[in-house]
Amino acid sequence: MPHSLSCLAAIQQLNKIIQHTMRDINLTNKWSNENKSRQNASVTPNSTSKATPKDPLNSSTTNVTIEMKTFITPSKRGKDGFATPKSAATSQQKPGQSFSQRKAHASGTDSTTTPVRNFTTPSSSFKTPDLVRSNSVSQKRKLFNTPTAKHPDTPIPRKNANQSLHTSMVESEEECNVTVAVRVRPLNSKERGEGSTIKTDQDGVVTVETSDGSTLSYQYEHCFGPDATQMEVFRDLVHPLLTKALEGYNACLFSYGQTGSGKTFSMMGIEAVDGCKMGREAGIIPRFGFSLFEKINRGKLKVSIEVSYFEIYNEKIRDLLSDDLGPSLRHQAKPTLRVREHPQDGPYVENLTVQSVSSFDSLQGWLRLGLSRRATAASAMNDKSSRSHSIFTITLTQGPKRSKVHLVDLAGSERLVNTCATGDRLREGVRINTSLLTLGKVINALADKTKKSFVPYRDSMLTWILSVSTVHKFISLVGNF
Amino acid sequence: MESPLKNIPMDVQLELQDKFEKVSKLLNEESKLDPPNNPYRSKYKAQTILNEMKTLITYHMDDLASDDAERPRIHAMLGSVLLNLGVTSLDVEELSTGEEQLNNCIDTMEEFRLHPLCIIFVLNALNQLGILWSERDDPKRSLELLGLAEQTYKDFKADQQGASKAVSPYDLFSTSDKKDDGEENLEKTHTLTLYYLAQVYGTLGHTLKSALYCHNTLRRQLESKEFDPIDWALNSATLSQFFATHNGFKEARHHLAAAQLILDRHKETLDQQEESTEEKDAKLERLNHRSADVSRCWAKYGLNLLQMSQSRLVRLSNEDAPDGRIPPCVEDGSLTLRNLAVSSLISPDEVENLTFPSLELDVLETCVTDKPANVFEEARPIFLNAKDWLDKAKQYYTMENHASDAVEIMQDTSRLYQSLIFFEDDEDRQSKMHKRRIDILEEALGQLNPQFYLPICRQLWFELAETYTEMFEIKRQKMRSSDEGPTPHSLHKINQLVAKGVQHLNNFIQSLYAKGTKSLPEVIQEELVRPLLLAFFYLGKLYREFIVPDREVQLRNLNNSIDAYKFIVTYCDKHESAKNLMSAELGICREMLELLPLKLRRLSEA
Repeated sequence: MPHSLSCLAAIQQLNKIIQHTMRDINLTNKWSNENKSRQNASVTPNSTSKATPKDPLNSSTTNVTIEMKTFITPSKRGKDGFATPKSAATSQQKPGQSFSQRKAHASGTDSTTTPVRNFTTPSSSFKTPDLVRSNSVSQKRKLFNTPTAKHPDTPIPRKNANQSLHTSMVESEEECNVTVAVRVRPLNSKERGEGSTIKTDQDGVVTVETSDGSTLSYQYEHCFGPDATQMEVFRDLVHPLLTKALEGYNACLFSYGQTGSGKTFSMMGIEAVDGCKMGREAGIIPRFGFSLFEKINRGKLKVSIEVSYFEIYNEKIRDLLSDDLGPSLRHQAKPTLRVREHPQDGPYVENLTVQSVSSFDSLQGWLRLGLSRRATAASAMNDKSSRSHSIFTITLTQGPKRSKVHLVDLAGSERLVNTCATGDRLREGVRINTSLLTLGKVINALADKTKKSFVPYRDSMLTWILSVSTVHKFISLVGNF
Repeated sequence: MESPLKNIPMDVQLELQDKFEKVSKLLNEESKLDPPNNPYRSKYKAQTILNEMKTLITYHMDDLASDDAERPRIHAMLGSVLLNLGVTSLDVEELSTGEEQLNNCIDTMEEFRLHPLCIIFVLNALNQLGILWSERDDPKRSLELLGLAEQTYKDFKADQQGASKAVSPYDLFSTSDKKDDGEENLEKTHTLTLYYLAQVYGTLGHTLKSALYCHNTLRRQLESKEFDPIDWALNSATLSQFFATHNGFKEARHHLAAAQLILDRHKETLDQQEESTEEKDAKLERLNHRSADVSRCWAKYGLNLLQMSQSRLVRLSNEDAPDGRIPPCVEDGSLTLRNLAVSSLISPDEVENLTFPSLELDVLETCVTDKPANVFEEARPIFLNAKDWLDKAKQYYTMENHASDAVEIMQDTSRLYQSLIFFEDDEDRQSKMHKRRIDILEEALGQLNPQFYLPICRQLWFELAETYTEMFEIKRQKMRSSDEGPTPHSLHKINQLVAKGVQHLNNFIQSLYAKGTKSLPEVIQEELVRPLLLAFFYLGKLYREFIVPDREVQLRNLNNSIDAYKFIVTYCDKHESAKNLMSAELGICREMLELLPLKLRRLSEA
């Protein structure tokens, strides 16, 4: 059963991503307490349309949600807990996080057409800050399944995973909270014959049947089966983020998974045709916007909201909300945006358009515009949206408090290998490419990765934006004391 | 071009030509417009037409006599169709089908594989199969296929003797006289073969071989005049980094000079465009960005050359020592690129003449030597040249906009001073250069927010500690060799340097504390274990370098020193992997833990 093999490979990849992401956030967060006051003090409500270095994308405090295809965390949970700045306890990392050690080989057959099924993620215990500690000292990862996003009648990428899960990992702020959820989409007609090998239960346990008939179970924060509705996903996984965001915390949600596993369905969903504001199939981002304004209006909160929306395609940043251009071809001719690194405020996207919104309708208007621009650009380049990452950012300003929520729809995980926050990226061999334009990658792989040489290719824009620290993770110290 | 075929009726030939044009259009133009929810629509259409062509050709092929003069052409036609089918199958991710079609393609043309009509299809099919196996994680298989493609090209070139030229796919089906450049197509295909080979060799860990193929790819791109100047320059400069770290300074400099020349030419072209548009600004920005990158590569070249010069002199001075014989290595210049070739089973001739003969590079190359320096007078020009490049790079990589790059440049500047110090005999001037390093690194540290740049800050703390220690050692040496003995001023200075070193090491260590605590976590991230343990090791040493009369302070320092060694030993006892990382230092630590408590007792009893 090549399924399980390719799944396991994907799991291992994902584990690394999560591990590294969390570690980096962990590092970054260390300083967040000291800096919080300074940052807050320096932030003034800003209604101009350009982002300033005051809005570093790389927030000190992040909520990461990774949704992915199929994730499995071994039920014997390893710990890679992260102490929070507030908690007095030390963080603990157990060395042998029990990732699946199986080695997956790509077989000579079309094994890529099979879904990724099992992903191991380290399940982690995190120290939560005092205010939350009563609830849970250790949090578990959960899995959830995603419904198929693709319409059944689209024959396209035959590569469609036949069954897939999404995992979400939510990492919150000061608490350094990471929640991982997995969503399994329903089987499509082709897969129905093969039968499901993934089972989910109420307690966040996902069980996967492997090729040799044995089963592996993994525990996540949440897991959503094929029947789970968009509303349930939002309620259980995303709503807590909204609450945190209104409390002034930064948050981030990623969706992760193979192409066809329903990431974009989970994030965007399908707009209701009958003009109803929040249809059954609406995804995380519109629901987030809707609930946000509902809360603001109900609580008569004085919050000003700004949004920005960009995509990263081929390591280039494209502004999806700029004022001056429609979804025309000119849009593409426009020079792409650049990431800048400010010594004090960290990395940010230069000249990124920030639109101020005062109602859910205007938020959704921008979202729609961005989506349409994204689609236009993608088809003109003969490319599927699965190859680009998109980042929708909502900035909430309440008096001196400012928080950011990044809602990230990642490219298909099969494309993510080179983009991810893993240190292994640098050691990876270069896959064959048919375009001479990428010759750089070949040479890149030859070059000495220590301080001895300079390799001028900046990969993984996304990582760089979300966490500048990962880029410089390697420390090579030569001392001749 | 060719006269119409006798074996295939004219109307069928015209039909084939028509279908071929349709397929080309579908694959090259229409497929770009396929909707996102049906991205392979045109490709599926093309597959249908190709299968029809296959049936037509096969039908007429069956009756051919074995000596029919038209056989090569008809086989080539079928081969072309099979190649297109194979590639399309791969595109729509039907890998095994594609593999089969490509193999059929090669089989069909096996008899005529060196025929000018077939050569391009054979090479393309082999290239595609090479890619396929590489994607299936079987680089060895991929290497076989691509190696075969390379050999086939060579055989064709040798066989053909310039007599007949390769025929392009377009002409094969064309009944008209319109000519496509088959020769150019052939050369391009071969360039791709070399480029894929570079990748496969890289994947297999044959870095030198891969570098040679990269060079050849670059050279052929240059000759074909089809390349993006900035990409090319960047690639050449990056390849120079490989040579500069493998004792190939001549080659490294040549590649850098080539990169520089191509960028200079590109700048001239851009400058000629008068009107300033958004597009031009973007191009200029890209040029400035990449020029700064090439400058940094130049600087690394100089830095590597100075560091190699230093190791080389150390090696030469040790050579007379009876036990000074160490195996030759790249770092001290005792292992040349030719030696490396031999040990990689490459003919040493292959690493000769890694040049771009079409470029005039003498002027650019004479700016800096490619020979190791023996004395200060030789080291200084290398230093100045590299520092110039860093200053140039800094104009683009400003602290304000590119904080981490700017700091890396500052770190390189510090390293350049460090390398030059080796050649400087005068202690005062050595100290001044160390002071310069400290100023640079402390300036960088002062500007960075550790919240975002923690890993860089850690490096800076460590490097600063290192620099203070080196400076302290010079001062102590000077004090010891002075006839007058220690003055209060020199003692104060020494203690100050030691204190600074201790402070930076402690900053480094504290940055690893578990969040919200004042202690280190049980387990340290793997890549930080050695730096952390080394920091304690140096700390153990530095604490004993304070020169203070007060016994209480002496006791405290000694205790601090013991604690540092204790930490290392305890950590290594708990973590087997750490033991290996610290194999050289661990023994010293254990010894210290035997000696120092004795000293402590003596001191407290005195």
